[in-house]
Amino acid sequence: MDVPPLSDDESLVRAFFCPEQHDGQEFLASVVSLADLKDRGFSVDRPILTPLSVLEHRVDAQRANKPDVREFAKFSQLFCAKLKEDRDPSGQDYFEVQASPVNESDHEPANPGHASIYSADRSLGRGGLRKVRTELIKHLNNIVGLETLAYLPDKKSD
Amino acid sequence: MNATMLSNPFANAPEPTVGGIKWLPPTKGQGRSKIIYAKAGGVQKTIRSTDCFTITYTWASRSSLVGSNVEGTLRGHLKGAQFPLYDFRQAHTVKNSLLSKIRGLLDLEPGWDGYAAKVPAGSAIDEAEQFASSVLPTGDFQLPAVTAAADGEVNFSWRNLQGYIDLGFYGDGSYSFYAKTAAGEEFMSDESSVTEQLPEQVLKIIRGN
Repeated sequence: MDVPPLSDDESLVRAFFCPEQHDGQEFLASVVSLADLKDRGFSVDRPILTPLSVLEHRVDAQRANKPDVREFAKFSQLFCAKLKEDRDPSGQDYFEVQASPVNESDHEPANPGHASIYSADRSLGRGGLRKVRTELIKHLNNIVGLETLAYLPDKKSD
Repeated sequence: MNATMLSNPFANAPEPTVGGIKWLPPTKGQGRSKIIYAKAGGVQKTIRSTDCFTITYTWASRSSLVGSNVEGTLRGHLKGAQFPLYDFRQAHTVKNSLLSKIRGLLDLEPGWDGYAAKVPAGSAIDEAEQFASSVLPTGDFQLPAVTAAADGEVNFSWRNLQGYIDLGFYGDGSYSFYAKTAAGEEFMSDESSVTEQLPEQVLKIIRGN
């Protein structure tokens, strides 16, 4: 699946469904796994490329799984430019963001807007990765309403 | 009256007093009773128990025990009265609250985060408990947020006026952490033995004062 490269003026969105990962004011450390930062990539959407139906499918699936607790849905909006500017005091970037489109599967529809956030330095040990995630959580704490997110409108069938 | 009352040193619930004798009402809950009653004359006996059993123990007169994790020596001498020798109620200490929160992670199911999260390994939970017992201060401290991460980590985090700590366990015999004090001093470790002590500056954040 060919998608355009990420640009600095893009925003990224992550949906959260687990209330235990938020203390009421900020996200807790465990909201980002160290394995995601090092190898797997922390999943986010590029709203300019992710159809709204993909997000709706995800939200519906979560509510169907655990309707009692999945009413907690928070949407973090991150900005590529700010992630790119974020560096440690030595000038080392904290993050690397890669487009990683996902093909349709049995469980979910295709998501051409899927992207992954990694630690820019993959050689970091767990202590260093914890510092990187502490920085990432500052970006994730920008919680916005779903109505403010400009996901790609779905094409209407004729 | 010649009786020695043995009480659980961790129990801190208020105890009503009757006639100058400490008295605790019997616990009606099933499974984990908290109190042993003795009605005895000239008793000296050791009782041991392990998890999940129920016995009625009789000697001289009668003593019954319904509970778990009991090891103690009863000494009593009393006629015509019934009184409790032990109070096994769970202490309401910060450390006990922490252990309870850690064990709560055992209830998680795969995919608990709404994505593809793993559940923490039993060894990670064991190590978190071991750390709590051996590294955290014995006195008062701030209860951390205890959560799991999607890769199976058991995580403790503290945030207060003294600073911030992100510390966790994966069940490989070590813990790692990142801490930043309010003054901006940073501390981190990629791999510390589960019983290895934290720097004093980090402990200060844990104490919260």
